[in-house]
Amino acid sequence: MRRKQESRDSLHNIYEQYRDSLLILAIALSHDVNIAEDAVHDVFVAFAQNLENFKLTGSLKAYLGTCVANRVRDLMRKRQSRTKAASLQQNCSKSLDLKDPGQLIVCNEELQLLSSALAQLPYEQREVIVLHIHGQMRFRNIAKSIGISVNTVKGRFRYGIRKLRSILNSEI
Amino acid sequence: MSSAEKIRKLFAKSDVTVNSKIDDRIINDALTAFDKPEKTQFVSPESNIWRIIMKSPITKLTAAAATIIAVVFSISLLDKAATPAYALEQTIEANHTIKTIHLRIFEGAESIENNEFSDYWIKYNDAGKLSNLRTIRIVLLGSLFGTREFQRPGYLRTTL
Repeated sequence: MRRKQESRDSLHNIYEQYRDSLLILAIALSHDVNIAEDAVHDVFVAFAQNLENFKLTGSLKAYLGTCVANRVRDLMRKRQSRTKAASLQQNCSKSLDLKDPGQLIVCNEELQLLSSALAQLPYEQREVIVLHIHGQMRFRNIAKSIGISVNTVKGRFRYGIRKLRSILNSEI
Repeated sequence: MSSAEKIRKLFAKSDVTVNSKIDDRIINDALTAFDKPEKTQFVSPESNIWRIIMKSPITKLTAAAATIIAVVFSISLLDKAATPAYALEQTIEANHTIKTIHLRIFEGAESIENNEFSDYWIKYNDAGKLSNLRTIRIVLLGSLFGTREFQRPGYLRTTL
């Protein structure tokens, strides 16, 4: 019983510790606060279900980040029609209004800028950039989690960064 | 400063403010999911025993063989239990018992309106061969009277 309570507390602590980071990762990938919220929710529910048999072999942050990235990809496939640039712009721009008390997730200005720029990249490049820079994952681990070669990951990162630089050149 | 470094800084400055409703939703659902496996563990212990048994390749083969035998047995049982259909063969056989046939033939829609027709009486013997044939044709003469016309009056003895 005591062990059970400890596990519940641990789950709560893990959520508190990684919530913001995972939400930023999901928003950067999806450019949609609703998808981001659903992805983080689904990952934590699945994580809690398997917590008893869970054996961590690497970084917990990287593990949860990969799970969120995979879930975002699934959700975006399902809602492909809704992830058009216009609707996305509306979703995140409105949510960036810090004074709006009605919004459940509010992004700051930097996240809005970053998310809008990343949304202009192909998803494959976006995924690699976000997982490497924000998720602090090595190229080797990203390649393994996506199921592609390390060189492809490096190529996607290079092309993505080049394009981001041209997009953000006037912004930063 | 490289582009990657600039983007890294941008990520570092990124922040989200999350409403407590989202926290409540995620935490409550996660804790419910965490509690669920323990509750379901004791519901059906038989399933675990079944899984342990089915891990052995011999029991897997035995189960497959038993399923095949059961299917074959059911098919053979159904085959015997089913009522045979009344087929064409039985219809022809039944026709052989008929000794006489009466046919009334109308030639087109006009003949039906005018009530003009031909009647045939056919008689078979015990061996099933044609023994007698009689025909009659009813035609309308003018608009008032009808008459009978015997194309082949009386019984005809056939040589079949």
